Amino acid sequence: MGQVLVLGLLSGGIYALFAVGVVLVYRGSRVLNFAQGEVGTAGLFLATWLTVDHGLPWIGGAIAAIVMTAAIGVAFERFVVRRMGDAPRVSVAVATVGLLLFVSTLELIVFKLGGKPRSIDGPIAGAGAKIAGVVVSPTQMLSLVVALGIGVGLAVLLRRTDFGLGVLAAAQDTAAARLVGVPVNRVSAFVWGTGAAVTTLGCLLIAPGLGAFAPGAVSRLFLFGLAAAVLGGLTSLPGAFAGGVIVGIVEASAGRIFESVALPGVKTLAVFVLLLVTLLVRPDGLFGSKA
Amino acid sequence: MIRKLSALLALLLLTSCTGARLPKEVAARNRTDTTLSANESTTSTSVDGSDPLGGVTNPSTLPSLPAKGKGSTTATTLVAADTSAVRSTLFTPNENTIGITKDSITLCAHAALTYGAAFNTSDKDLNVYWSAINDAGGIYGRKVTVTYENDDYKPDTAVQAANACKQKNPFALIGGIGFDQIPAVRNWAETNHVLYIHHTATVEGTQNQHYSFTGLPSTEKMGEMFGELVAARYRGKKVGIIKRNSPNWEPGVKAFKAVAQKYGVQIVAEDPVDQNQGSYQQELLDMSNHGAQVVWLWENALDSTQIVKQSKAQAYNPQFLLFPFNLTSQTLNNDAMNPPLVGVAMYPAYSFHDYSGSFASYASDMKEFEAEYAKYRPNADLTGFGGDLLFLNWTGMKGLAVLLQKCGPDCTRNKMVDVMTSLKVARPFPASCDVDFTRPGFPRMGGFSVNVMQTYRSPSGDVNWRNTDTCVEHLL
Repeated sequence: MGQVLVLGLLSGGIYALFAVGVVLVYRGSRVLNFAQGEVGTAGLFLATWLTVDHGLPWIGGAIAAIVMTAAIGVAFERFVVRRMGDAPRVSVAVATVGLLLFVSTLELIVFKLGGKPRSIDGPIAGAGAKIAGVVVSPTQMLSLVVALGIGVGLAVLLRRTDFGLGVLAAAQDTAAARLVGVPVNRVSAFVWGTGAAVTTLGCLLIAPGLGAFAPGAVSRLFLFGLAAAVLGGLTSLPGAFAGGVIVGIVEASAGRIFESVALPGVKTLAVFVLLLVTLLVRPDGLFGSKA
Repeated sequence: MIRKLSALLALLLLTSCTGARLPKEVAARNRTDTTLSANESTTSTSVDGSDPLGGVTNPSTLPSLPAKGKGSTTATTLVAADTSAVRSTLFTPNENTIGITKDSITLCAHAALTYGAAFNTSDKDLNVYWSAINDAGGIYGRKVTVTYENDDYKPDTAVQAANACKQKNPFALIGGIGFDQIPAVRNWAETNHVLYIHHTATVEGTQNQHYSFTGLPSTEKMGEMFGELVAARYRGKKVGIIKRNSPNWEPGVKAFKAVAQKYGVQIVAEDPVDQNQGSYQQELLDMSNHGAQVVWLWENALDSTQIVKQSKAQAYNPQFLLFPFNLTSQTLNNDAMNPPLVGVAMYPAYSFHDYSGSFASYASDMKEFEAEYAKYRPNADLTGFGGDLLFLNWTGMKGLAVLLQKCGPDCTRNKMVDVMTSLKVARPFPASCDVDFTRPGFPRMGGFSVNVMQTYRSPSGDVNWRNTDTCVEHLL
């Protein structure tokens, strides 16, 4: 049981980091951004190139990666999302799939220059601590704290500041928000840029635990992050964190319960069933409100 | 809106969970254990470099060879042409000569070019063998052209790639590495009447098929040989399996377990994982909790690399058995040496400029390969992660040249089918294993031997793989 909890929390921390980025964009634009995981991975490659290949400190590579991916998010908002202002939100979500493919291709081109799968150390060195038989690295501990901190911090920003309220208002009724003086374009750029930055931070904290990565390496993890975001309610940042942890624990529990029969796909199936049941009982997710 | 998006996500998860499943059919599995010896090579003749035209009945039909001291040696005749009457009627007269003229042979391949970038290889790098052949006059005067379509390492994309290839009217469709892609394309080849020559795949579902052929061992054979490896070297130890969650990989696991059961190997844990799963901590803990001392990774190169790396981070250090790629060993570096990794492959090991030890038996092929790359693709990185992949591709293409030479100057698709149902030749070139398309119970299959490998610190300082057993059909 202890092992399942520790494993669930570790995986949950990863999913929560992705979910927070997804929810932020959704709250600010009502769009599910399918490209976020791959944009974060692109940042990861940049950070690796700077730190591993050119000797920059981890923090330097991380800042560069976050700035670059935030710029990608802002550029996508400026040149695609804004131009699709009146289009159905599902159409914009489909446009993010286009961004995903574009970034994947870009990674492959850049990746080819590097010519090999990459690996990167975490921000904190050390052997880690053994908890319930699981070796937990300092970076894994940090990622849990960061996921919680970002979730709570952004929730406070959105609820307690004029700018944050402007974000929510712009998402609900853009025209009305503009009439009352909300800088709608700036707000939209903020959520897309910050969403990409948060996901990149997640990738940077996840990568050391993966050991090695290539384009598309976080795709499955990001899918579970999306599941966590929907489970948490898509509009709730604390819900995103809770969703991540719940998905992580359910996945780990299913793996443990069915380990003796080696049932293929059982962990993914368990998350799917959890999501389905939750949405049947609470269509807006555990912590979500009506969109 | 939330509900619509939730439904979309649920669909994504369901797809991820179930995957595309092919109907399972019972395979013909009447195994025989005969092993070819060198003197069993029937009508074919292996020729050494001093007599490039030896064993061939009609030299005027052969590719013109470069002048002595110039060019490469790849135009050396590997087998003599089959001059017997054509027996196969698989292709109609209209289909029979597609992609082949008196001066050209057109081939098209589907391959995971997406991942070529990861190995620092491109489609131009993959055609070096044919550049050398064509410069030396081609196959019976026919220049061979191979183009590539990206299958993205996915079955549905592989079928799209096959369709794209068909538009080019190739003589044959070539299938690159991919346990999941090949069965999908095999089905496609049946309905599209395309001659398909592919890499390793399961034999399940092939008993009623006619258009697909392979000169390599099956997925089942690979699993069986991993099983024999465990039984031969690690009997008495507890064994765990981390395996790809795929019906196309599962037959290898069944074969492994059958061998394990036969020799009393104790399998203590078996965990399926998804492609690109990313985190394998739970599976590794399961292995550790069950005391597995040997862990067989039935996964691709990148995922296996992640698993070994994450295992070391968990201070869990079993003996790993896996598909041997330099990508894995070079990425893991010291982690691949303590203890050395062990692998089984359908291709030979390659380590740049190392012709010592077990490399010596096929050093001539390695030198030829390196010379051709120096000439045609001097910027290709043979020392890095892609070196062994380029060598395995080069040997694969050389194997294809064996088939085309055997097909002869009057080659057609039906004649090629004849070749791939009757050819039996002992190691047609040094880096190749025996080819035998005549085994009862294995229609359209010509490969039954594997190479067992182990990691080592190469003279260049990289951790690479080298053969410990070359072209073996059994280890017990």
